[in-house]
Amino acid sequence: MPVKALKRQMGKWPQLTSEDSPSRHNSHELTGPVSALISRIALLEPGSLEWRKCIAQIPPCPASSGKAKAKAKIDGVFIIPDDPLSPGSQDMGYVHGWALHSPDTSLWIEDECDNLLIVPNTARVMRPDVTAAHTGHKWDDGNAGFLLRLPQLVENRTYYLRTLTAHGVLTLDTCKAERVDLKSLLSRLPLNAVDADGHLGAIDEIFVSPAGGAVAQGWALTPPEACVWFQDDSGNISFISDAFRRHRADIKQGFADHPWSDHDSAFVIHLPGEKSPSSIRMKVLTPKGVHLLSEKSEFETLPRDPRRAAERLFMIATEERRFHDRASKVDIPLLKPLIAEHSLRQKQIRPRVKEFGTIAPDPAVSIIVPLYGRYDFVEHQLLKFSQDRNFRSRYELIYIVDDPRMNDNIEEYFDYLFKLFNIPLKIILGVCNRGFSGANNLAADYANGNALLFLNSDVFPQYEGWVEALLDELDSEASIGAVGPRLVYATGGIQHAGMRFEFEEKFGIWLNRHPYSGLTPSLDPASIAEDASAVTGACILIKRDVFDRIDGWSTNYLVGDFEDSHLCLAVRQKGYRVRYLPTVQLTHLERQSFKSIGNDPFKLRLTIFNAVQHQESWSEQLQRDDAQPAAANLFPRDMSKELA
Amino acid sequence: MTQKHRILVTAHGHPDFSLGGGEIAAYNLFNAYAGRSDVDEAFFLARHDHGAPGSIYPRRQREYLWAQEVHDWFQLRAVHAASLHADFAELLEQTRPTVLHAHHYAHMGLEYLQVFKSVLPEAKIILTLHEFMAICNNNGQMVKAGSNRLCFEESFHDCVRCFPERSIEDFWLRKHRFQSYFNLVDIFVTPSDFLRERYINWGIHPDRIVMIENGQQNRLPLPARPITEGETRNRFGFFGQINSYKGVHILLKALAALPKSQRKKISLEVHGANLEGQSHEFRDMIAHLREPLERDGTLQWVGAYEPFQLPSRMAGVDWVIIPSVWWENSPMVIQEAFTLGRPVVCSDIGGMAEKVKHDVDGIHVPVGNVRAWGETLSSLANDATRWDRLRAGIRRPISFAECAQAHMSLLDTVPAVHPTHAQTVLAAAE
Repeated sequence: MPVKALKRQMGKWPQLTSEDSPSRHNSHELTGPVSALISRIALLEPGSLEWRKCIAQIPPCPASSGKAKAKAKIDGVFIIPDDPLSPGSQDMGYVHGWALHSPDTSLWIEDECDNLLIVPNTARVMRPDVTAAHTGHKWDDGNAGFLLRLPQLVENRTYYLRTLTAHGVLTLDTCKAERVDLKSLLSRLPLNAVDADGHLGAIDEIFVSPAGGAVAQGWALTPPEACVWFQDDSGNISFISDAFRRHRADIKQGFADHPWSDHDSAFVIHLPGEKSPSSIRMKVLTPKGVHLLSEKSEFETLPRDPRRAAERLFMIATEERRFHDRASKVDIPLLKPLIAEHSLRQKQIRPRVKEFGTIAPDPAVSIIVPLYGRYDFVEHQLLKFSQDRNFRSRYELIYIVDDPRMNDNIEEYFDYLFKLFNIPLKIILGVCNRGFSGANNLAADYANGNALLFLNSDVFPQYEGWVEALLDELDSEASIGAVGPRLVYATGGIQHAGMRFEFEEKFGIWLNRHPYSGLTPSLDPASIAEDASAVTGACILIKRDVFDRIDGWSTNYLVGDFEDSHLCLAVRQKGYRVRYLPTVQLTHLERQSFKSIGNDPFKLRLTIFNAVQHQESWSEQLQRDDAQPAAANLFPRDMSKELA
Repeated sequence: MTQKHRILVTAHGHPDFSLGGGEIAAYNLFNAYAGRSDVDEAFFLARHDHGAPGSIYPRRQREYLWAQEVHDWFQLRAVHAASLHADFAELLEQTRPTVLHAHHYAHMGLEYLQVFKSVLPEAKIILTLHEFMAICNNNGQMVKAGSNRLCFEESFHDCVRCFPERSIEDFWLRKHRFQSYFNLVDIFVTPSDFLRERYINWGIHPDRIVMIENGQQNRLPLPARPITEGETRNRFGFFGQINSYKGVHILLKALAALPKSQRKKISLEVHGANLEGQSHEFRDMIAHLREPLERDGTLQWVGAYEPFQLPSRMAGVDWVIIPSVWWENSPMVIQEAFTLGRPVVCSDIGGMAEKVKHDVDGIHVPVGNVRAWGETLSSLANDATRWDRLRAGIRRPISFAECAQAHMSLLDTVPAVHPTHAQTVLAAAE
């Protein structure tokens, strides 16, 4: 059915207007015996002008007398501000209830102002609850429910459900109109089992997060304006208009003649709600009522580990170039609480701390190195550190073991290295894998330095005094919050000379770019300290109080590449400057590889997922920095008020 | 002099068990130190391949063996780490050397240099470099892995071509590991200028590396080999190890390629060792080349010798021949040949070209060039006067005592390098 046809049919909805309804209360005179009038009414078309005139003359049935040929009830009269079926109309109302009555008995609803609407005998709604309560009722065909739509309902006005008896008009039930929002309306309307006017859809899969909420994916063939939603058994509702939609060739092929098959049929939607719903229903509202399109009660529960959950979730098909949109609508809302729960759980795990030698009591700086995967770099680092005398007197060196696989022999290894190089150090055995941010935050809890130097284990100094030079820059002005040095690859080319933000059109995300990568350091345009948008987390020195004010490293990211720029942006948001110091240079043994983010499908999606989180936090500043890198550190003035 | 030195000499092997040039040079120097009046005491510690792992035990008075090992030859890492801080440190604490003269780190690992400076921060370290192990992962030879093509300069990009299974970052780590440990060394010694230049190019500061030739036993030159009327100086002797770097196969091919009339005027004696340790393919090749030459009497395959046998073996030849296809450092056989009065015919590269002066005390032959070797041997065998002239051009190599004296004067001129700011030792390598 084409959309136009549907709209026409919508227009056929029985409507009530006050102009053509004569008022019963205006004429108290009876024009004839009531019984004769009643007999005459039986011959009239219910709802017709003539019928109305007659009805208006019938007095109310005395409460004690008259036996109704009907049982009926109004379950609700709802006014909603914006009717999904007639967008733009004001105060459209929905009346629903049920009625058991003989086919020749008319029921109608009217208000105090004699606005009147006949309850149709056909196009009724299944009401298993009514059927159950009235077992074997002679007039119950299973479809006792009704749903009517009326314009111009008035809040708090009473609406009457009436019928005609031999003794006059009998009021079966009354109900006050209440103003509700759409979600509450939809959750209170009964289901109509009859065909859904061509709307089709199916929930193919549901993934439930252990931290609450779910993601459903499937398809729906509905017009774009259709009111389609998902509902769990607690009544939580999510509209398909909030879903991520994409084209699905198989649906297009399978329903080639369907009027809406050219629209994006696939949906992936985040459903906030309970931790363990028993079923999810996909429903559509049509003029005939609420229809069930699909129901699913089998769920796949996602792993508690957010990375593994992401691995599963990201397998739901989506084009790479559109994944940023999906991440924003679906993946981030679902995984964020899971990530938060995960990092909270990890925070509660107590690490083991071991000290080798006597660490300087009031260190100028705490150097924090997280270890994951391989740890043979430590020996090389200590070999370099051992030839810098301040490592024995002024610094606190902390290795945070962020890899439970290492726990077995790592202490023995450090014991050996301590004996060999005689550098006092602290190791923190993290017991679990917290990731870059979590591990660094944990180590910071055990750090006593006035500044914190976060250093990757594959970064190696080239000469003595590099820490002092970074400290000098950090302490040169109160407004400086963090400092990062130049890093070079093993081949001597630039690996890091400050970071820039760059919009990647292909994936719709802002990426952190390393300018001048691979060039010889002599081609670095910076030769003295300068403000930077951000510096790499592979080696960054930050003031302790600034670190505390921004609550450390963000743990929102999943094995991400954005923790460092997030940290720098947070530092700048507090009114501090981030500095790039090219006069200090270290070697970073990162593989200089082709900088494409599109090789591994999961990693690409992970990067996009993190990038979207990053830009949702910092969108404005990313654009400002991109437009005017020179003014990189100018956060809006009002933010810099926070500067102590 | 305010204080007499106490010198610990270390080597990667004891000449009692291992007759490499480095081991012998180290041991001779130890004995020379011990005999000096300005040396309080000298000790010798040689790595050994027997004994409880990591243990140190005496070989004879002031001589020790150390059961240390290296498995990771890329990083030169000591296997028995615990023994560094136990056995080795205790030896240092009890003997209190003022100088460590390290002759190698092969089989022992680099870490003992660090332990030495930790236990005895005021003592000095001299490190004698015998080949390019720190520079080149291909057995320290500076020839290309697989092809044995000569390598002129290391770089990360070149090194990964020899060892594709390693990354640039691996080689960066290797180089910086060596350089960082080398920072602990007060002075480097190389027995050739050639080796010295290579290490300067690699990063050692020129002021910190000196050339001192290996010392030789004081001996009188041998008389010329008696020859009969009409006989020429046509006997060539090869002395040393036989492996793919030493070029014996070049020599054999050169002889085989000569016309029979020329070949029969030449006699080659091979006093070679360790062929049995070489690869199957290499041994097959040598056997294949040997057989026809031995049959027609050109080649005498004499076999291995003990050091004391060398003079008698050299007495029977006119020329000592060194056809190595790698650079060599300062082959001991050159000094021995000169001590015993035998001119040397050698490849025209590296330490050989430096130690043998062409047309003065020997002859240079283009390295690896089969035809040039054949022509040279043939021409020398037919020349009546050249041998006498070249023999007269030989200068006596320095003695053990002179070698020790050169090292002692170094100690007085080199300031101690504090282990925590030793970076000045190395020129920036980046």
